[in-house]
Amino acid sequence: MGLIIPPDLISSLKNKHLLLDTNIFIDASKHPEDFTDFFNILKESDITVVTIDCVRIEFLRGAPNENKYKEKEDYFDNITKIILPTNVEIIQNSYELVKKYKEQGGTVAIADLYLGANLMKYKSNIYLLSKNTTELPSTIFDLKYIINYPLNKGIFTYGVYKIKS
Amino acid sequence: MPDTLPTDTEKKKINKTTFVNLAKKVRKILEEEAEYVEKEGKKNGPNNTSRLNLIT
Repeated sequence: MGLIIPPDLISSLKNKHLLLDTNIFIDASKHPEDFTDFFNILKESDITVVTIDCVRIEFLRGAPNENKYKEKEDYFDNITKIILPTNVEIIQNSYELVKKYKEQGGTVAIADLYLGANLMKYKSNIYLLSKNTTELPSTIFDLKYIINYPLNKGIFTYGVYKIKS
Repeated sequence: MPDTLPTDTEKKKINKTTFVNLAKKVRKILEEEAEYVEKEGKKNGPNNTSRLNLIT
């Protein structure tokens, strides 16, 4: 059946960037046929798929040897080779996010903070795609779209987020 | 002035056959890694892989 893309998602994201969280790379390895179709729809629609080093590192870590590391790297780079830079502004935005998360920030991973920091930096030009919806509170992020992916057993749900203005 | 986002100038589509083959290998590696993490977790206490949801 594939991923169910909301009707106006593609037109809204045209000429914009979609930032992928680590769980997307993991799920795509479980269901590569459907995710190839999804990624290619994005590419055809002038939506640039990007990620950050923190996500790439999170995905690559744990590889038991150099060959397996390389296989993971090749797979990852097939989805995107465009890595947004982590600079001083991203670090500063992450500190701002820590304040905004308040006590909820105690369980938030650094990768989530850096993803949010990129949304803060690029504002209306970038959206985040993530399955990790519990760490993206509505006080900080706007859930713009929901992508459902029905499977033989259960449904995966992904959120498409922007930073709250 | 805001930084410009890098754009995908290549716009190269993903080759399904190549990607599926790579994904199969990666899936195996992730399963091995999850087994290792589970084993070590039992030995060493709680681990921090829940964010990734490696084992489904």
